[in-house]
Amino acid sequence: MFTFRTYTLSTLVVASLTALGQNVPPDTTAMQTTLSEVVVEGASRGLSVSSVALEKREIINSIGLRKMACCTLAESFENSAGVSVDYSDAISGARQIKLLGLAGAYTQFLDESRPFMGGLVSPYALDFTPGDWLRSIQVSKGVGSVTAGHEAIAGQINLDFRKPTDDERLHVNFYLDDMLRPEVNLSSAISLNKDRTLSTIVMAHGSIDTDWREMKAMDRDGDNFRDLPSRRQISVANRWAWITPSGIQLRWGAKFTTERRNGGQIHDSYKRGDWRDFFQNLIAREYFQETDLYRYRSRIRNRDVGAYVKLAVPLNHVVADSSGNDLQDNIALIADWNNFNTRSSFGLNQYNARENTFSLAIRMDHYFSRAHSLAVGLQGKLSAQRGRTTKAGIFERLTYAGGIGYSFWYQQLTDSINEREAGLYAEWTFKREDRFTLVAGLRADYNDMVKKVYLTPRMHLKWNITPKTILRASAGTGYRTPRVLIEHLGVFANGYPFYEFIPTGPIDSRVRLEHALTAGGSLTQRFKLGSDRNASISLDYFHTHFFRSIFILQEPYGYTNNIFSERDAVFSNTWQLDFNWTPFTRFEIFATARYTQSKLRIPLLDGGSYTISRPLTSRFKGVLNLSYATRFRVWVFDFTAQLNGPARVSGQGKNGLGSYNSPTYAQLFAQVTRKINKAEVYLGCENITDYRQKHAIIGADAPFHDTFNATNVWGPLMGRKFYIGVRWNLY
Amino acid sequence: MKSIAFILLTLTLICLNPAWAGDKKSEPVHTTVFQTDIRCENCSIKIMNNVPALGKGIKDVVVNLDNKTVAVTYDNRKTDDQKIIKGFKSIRVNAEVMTPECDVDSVSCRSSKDE
Repeated sequence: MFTFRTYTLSTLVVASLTALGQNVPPDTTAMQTTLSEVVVEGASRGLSVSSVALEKREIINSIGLRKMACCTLAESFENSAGVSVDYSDAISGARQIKLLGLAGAYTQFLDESRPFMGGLVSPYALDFTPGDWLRSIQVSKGVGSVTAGHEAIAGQINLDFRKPTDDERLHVNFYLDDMLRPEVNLSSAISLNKDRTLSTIVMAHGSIDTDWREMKAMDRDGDNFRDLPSRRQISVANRWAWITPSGIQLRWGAKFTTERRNGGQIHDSYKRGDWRDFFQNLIAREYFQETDLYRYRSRIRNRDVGAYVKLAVPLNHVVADSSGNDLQDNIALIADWNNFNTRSSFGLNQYNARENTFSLAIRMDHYFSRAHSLAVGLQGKLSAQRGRTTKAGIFERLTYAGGIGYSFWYQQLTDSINEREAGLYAEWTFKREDRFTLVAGLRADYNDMVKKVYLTPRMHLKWNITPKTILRASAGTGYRTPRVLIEHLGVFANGYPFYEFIPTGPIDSRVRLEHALTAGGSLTQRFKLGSDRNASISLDYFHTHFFRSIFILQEPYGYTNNIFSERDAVFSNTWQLDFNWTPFTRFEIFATARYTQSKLRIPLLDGGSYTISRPLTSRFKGVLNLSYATRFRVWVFDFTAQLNGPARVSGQGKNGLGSYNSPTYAQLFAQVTRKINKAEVYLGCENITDYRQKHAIIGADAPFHDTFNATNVWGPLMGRKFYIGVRWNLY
Repeated sequence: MKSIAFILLTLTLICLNPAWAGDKKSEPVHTTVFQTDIRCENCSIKIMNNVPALGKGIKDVVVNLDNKTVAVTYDNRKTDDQKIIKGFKSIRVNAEVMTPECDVDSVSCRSSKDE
């Protein structure tokens, strides 16, 4: 999969030499209108736990999405305890989610049941999806359905985008924060004919960090590094729907995103003309184009283009369900193409890669009776990734003669994947009225890269023990091809070399697919509390065990990025408790708490091993959300408090030596929304207590040295933020 | 400084709210039922999401999707049927007055306060 070599490029002798050996480790709803007849102003929960869905789903609807500014998908999860969003490092500002204490890559994103944002784009994808483009988000924990693939190990997050058939001919959202960062979202849904069979929606997003941000408070911790990079982004998407009266649906669309991030040091860290000139001239001439040894700069350029087409044709066979609705057989065809290109530099480290993915799927649903149905399908995927990385740095060592020696080293890695995969699946559903549902699925995929057939069995169960008590359970395996380097983007933001930690030999092309088992369930109880008949409490537990996992750590040997490919070395347990209550009309309380135990068994070169908590994974998180709306939601007041538990920060030694726990910290958010005619004005504040992780960058004064580390980010990098915005609709 | 600015802005917004703006005397409240062309749940949601767009003085709105009627209770010193019809038009709902009074038999004039 990827190969690498380490070089000592050149050594400047001040007193004597040091060298780095090759591959040797250094010593170091708007109204939830359940309206059948009458819509009245109802209590609408912004975040709720579905009582209908098969899996336990946390649903963030349009009201939930408007509780905060939700500029991007990442910010949409601030109200959720199950999903936590962390920065991958202190340089790039890229954010990644964690579900069940596992990295976001183990969670599959779906766009209306179509997998997307997988592969190389995943570390940036959360920032590529503006929250304003979404109508709701459904978070399901545990393995997903086999019909969506074999990848969802920790969970599935389904995104419900604005639709071509929407009523809003024009929707505008303008946002401005106290750093004068403007964001604009526009969407326009239009029917192109009178009978509304053909419709389209155009969605656009633009955001920019203005010069004001450049000048003010970009470096609040005074380490000469920007706290977050300066970002510019443009995203455009166009979706079409053609729905005939006979029920044939043809949907197609395309999207484009371009993004630029500039981060790193604000001023030169060294005076020009010192000994660095030697390296500067050498590497600039022979090896790197954009190298500046006087100032650590980070430039990231991303471009994402994609297109899809979906065709669904209803068949003649129809069965009526218990409520009289038609269950109709249908056949569907989905084709999907995506191209992602990233060019990034973090000081001397560079990562350039591009990926092309094409997938094709055919699916058929057949209802034998109202109780039994079967979905069968065929899927094929072609994926080609070409990547190239350079990691470089300067070692500073005391020489035998007592002077100081500098060595310049670099590693070049190719990170290429050619993957061809074909699979078939069958999923049987047994449904007894609305009380009991059992879904059993099996898929078999042949993966050309590892030349092996993988079987993925999965099962889901939902049992309404009483009308108010619901038990859900799921179990199954999953596997995926890891994009090891970009999924650990933070490793580029440190000065450590890579080290393949494989006592038996290099990872090279023999990297296996990651393979895991996830099992768990939840119990949801609805009850009457005060005047609320629908208060609910829900408890869930999930366990994940990896048969094979690939990960990068800064231990057991310090000052290196150790790459592991291990059997039975990773597992996690997650417990979560959710409580939903509406004490009086339009006042909602949502409280949730999560506890995670995520462990790794780390092997040692002498054949031993030790088990320790996965680094940078918070042990617990609690969220309390209070929301009050006046009649017709003319005024809405939202308040959210978060308590984030400690996470282990890797040390530089074995058995957790030198590692420490980050502090527990709280964050508060508040927002006031006022509806004026067809517009909504919102004013809010994030991180009210102005809590920041101080000194997120270690060794900031020597950014090219092997002691530099901006990877260990466990808390917020930006402090208090005020913002104001307006949403306006034209129907 | 930022905190003071935030508090001032919040207070300003709160003061703009007519609900807190002054004393309320007994208001002449009137209910009209409008026949509309709403077809689906989305239209009902659209109406309920845009009650301020119907005009000032709206006290209650009840949508009946089956009958395609919307009962609007309002303060007739501040608005009238024609203004409300105009308001409906601004959210692309065609409406006309069905009966001058709320017909309790055909439309559930349940107020949100009843919940």
